Amino acid sequence: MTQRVLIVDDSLLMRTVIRSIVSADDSFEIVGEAVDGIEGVEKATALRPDIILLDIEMPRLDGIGALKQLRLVSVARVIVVSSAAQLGSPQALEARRLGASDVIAKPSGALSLDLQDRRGHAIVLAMRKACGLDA
Amino acid sequence: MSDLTDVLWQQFATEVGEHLDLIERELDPAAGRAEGEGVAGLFRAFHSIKGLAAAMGVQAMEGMAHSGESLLAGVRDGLVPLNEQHRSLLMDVGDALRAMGQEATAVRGDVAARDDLAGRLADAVAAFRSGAGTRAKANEVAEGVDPRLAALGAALAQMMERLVEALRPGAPSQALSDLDAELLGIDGLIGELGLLGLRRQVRRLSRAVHDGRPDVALLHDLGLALGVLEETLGYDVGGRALLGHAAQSGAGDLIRICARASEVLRSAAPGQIDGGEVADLLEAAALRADLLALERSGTLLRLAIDLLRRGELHDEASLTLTGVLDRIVEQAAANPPCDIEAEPAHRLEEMLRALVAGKGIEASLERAMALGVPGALLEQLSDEARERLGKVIDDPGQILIAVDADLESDAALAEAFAAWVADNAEPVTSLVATREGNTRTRLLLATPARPAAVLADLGALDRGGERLRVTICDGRNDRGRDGIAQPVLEETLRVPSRVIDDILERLGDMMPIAAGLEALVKTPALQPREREALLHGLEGAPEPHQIVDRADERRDALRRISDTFARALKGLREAALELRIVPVDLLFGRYPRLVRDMARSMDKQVVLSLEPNGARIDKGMIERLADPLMHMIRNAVDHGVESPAKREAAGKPERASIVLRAEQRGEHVTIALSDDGAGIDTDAVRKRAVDAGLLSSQAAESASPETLHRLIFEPGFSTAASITATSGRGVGMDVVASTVAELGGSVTVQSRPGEGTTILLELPLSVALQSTLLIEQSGQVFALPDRHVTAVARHDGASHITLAGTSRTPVIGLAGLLGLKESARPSSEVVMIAAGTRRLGLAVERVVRRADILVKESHPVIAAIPGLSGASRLGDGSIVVILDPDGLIGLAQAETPG
Repeated sequence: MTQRVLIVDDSLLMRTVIRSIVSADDSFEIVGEAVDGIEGVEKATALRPDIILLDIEMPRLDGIGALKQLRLVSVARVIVVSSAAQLGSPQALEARRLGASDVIAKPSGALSLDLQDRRGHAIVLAMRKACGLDA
Repeated sequence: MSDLTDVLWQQFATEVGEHLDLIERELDPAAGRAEGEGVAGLFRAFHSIKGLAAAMGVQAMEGMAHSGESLLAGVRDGLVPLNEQHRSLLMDVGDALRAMGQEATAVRGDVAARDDLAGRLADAVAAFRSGAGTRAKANEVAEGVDPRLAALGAALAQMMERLVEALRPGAPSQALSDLDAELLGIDGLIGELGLLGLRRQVRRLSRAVHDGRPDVALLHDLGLALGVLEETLGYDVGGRALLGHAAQSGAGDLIRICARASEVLRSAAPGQIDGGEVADLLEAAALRADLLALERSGTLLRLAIDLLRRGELHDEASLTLTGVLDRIVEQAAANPPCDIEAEPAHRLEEMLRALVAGKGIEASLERAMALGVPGALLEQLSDEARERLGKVIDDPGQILIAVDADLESDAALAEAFAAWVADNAEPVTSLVATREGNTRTRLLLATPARPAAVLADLGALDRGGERLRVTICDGRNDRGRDGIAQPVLEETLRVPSRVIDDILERLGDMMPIAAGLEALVKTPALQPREREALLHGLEGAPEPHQIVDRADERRDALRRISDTFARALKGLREAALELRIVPVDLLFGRYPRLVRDMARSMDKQVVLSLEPNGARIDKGMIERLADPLMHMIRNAVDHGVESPAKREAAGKPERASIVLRAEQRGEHVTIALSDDGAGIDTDAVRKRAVDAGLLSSQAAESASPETLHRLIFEPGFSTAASITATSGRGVGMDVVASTVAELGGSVTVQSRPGEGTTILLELPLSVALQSTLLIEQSGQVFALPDRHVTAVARHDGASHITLAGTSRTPVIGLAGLLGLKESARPSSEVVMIAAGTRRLGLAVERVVRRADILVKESHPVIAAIPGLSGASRLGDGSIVVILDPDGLIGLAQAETPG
């Protein structure tokens, strides 16, 4: 059974990069994308994804605010993908406290076309772990 | 210090600076911001600084930016006004952040916190948090609430109260199991409201009360979810009570769990620790720490979880971690449970962070960079790729090579290259970059350590083309890896991508030129057979007219290529110059604060208006102009602007106005500083000039106001009656004049008694290249900056010249003016030069041609000679002396007074 994924990030570029990384793994199916926290919560309610990749820095409603709302409206596992939420940063700790399954750094630089690389990417690994799939 | 760290600190300094500039602009009362306007921008700026500081581990800044952000969040939410007091507080915070940022960048680390300011900020934040504001917010939100949600809240509040009651020791077990059905009763309502997350928690709770007792983790999760609901509803639905109950058993649990984790760590053989098991234990412990509000313990535990989840647990990390756990157990055993103390927490946190950064992945990245692997290839490595990278670096039999390959345009090459890689190398990582439709693949490969063979193989594949660019990453090109780390920051620029695209496009324009040249080179004028025939008088030799025709054709072809090349190069140069040109706002933005502070300390009322008019200027010039402009502005406030009383007496508005205006005209920029003050006191200047020995008393009597005004730029000149704190700091107006001259500009002053003063700087857009007119005099070539040359005319020996559209202008020989040996040849031409409003005709031996020359910063010895501004080399390597028209005109006026 494929896991249904919602990507929430205000940057088109980041959404493209994440989409490309995630779609390299057949276990996941991207069901929607949202450009800020409010739309993210709306789409999480409407689309009922299994897993949500959530950015922190976003207009209107940021990732932390969205994470709180998601506690109420969604049963999806949330993986925070943010450049702000690096190891041990207040945002990362707060996200963890609010129930994020994992907090990982955003991919940076141009996207690798190496399929092997994408399959082994931190985002995919975190998603597999959150869904209880083999790494 | 690694390159990566340097880059990060540079970026940090640049970005923090930009956010602070915005903060300063927004807070400036002169910006005339209406209430509430611009708050979002301010908030984001503080927020971004917080993020940047967090990223660089500058906690002191992070905390301060956070408080600034909190205050602004209050403003944004309408809880507090952005009044004068808050503005000034935030401005002080901005100043402190700037200073801290500079210090942090210099020391590459955290800096001392500013407790005084932090305290004031905390007071301001606390004032509105505890005040009526919070209540107002709650009411406001509560008004628009869905009635079904309100009903759910009421039901939950009632049930949670009973749940907490039922969980009390000694409560009848019936009370708990009764709740089971009731909880299921609200399941439908929760589902109807779409609160799937809450529904899951409530279902879990229902099951748990049915089976026995809910565990702490469940109560914690539910408590948090209810907390979110409370935020929407604006009242308590029992989340806090639930968390409070969960906390009761928290201390015991925390001690038990930490002790268990510590035991796992201690008892395991080295390298045999199950990081996942320990991480799960710590996860449970962190949750308890949250419940008990043991903030520092929670932070340390979560940091440890990250450490465990991200890499193997080596002995040193294990030891540190055990220390952390023991400390937490010790403190939590107190009654009531205590958080780990601030100091050891901080030290342990540092140790944990260092373990992650120092031992693991980052180390192999830093080593790879030290070997010369391009940073772009290291930015996005999977854990697997990092592992491979580490192994290759450690293996003396292998080397890393970086290949930048254009595999799109030549299928045969792509195939051959792929085959070579398959046979000879193991890819570590690769990335593809597309720009302007050109796709290049960049690969990092591990190959057996035979660099020469690698280069030969790939060179053969590429046949000398540019499609495969290979870098052997063996550390040979490393810049001073073993040298002393110098924390010197390179100057960085933010470049709009449009500019880069423009440059690339223009580079693209040059490609056909290279192709044309190549074709021309490849097609000889004479075929080998014809050449043989011609040289040896054999049959089949081309006729002379054919040879001439071909020579002409080739010359025409070359001329066309040359023309195209010149055009393309000019375009490229213009595009590249854009790189250095930034909005003049960056310069102007520094001063409103200065004026405000000065005016306040001098009891004057002054408004500085900025009119940048979209002008842009060389980034290097901004740095050079910052101090001179500051001095001009200080002078304007200190000497130019009168006290409010004097202004009132003179019938002027009490509030004085200073205008800083820029304007771009073609290749140069003017910067004008105008005040509506008293004007330059010519009598005082006259007296001072005589006292300082700059003028004789007769000359002073007869000197025109213009001549006197210019005297303020003389070294050592000052009319300040008293040395005040703000002016007279050693930087005189002479520095303004000399800096502007060094930048290839000129300065003029206009002043009217009682009406004010305007100082006008005229500057080239960029100092890197100057268009000049080359002239020859007494065997030496001189260059006159083009923009100062207004005309060239034949010299008829007269002492004055009148050209169409200009007034009668004196003519002076360049040789005489510079004290050169008079040439045997007479001056044949007059070059008309102008600086500001002043003009001069220079009689010279010969006008050579126009030339663009590179102007470097002049040697102080040359720059000090009046009339000269520097030296440069021409294309043929000969030295050219660059003349300073402003200085020449000054010299001429000194020679012919009046």
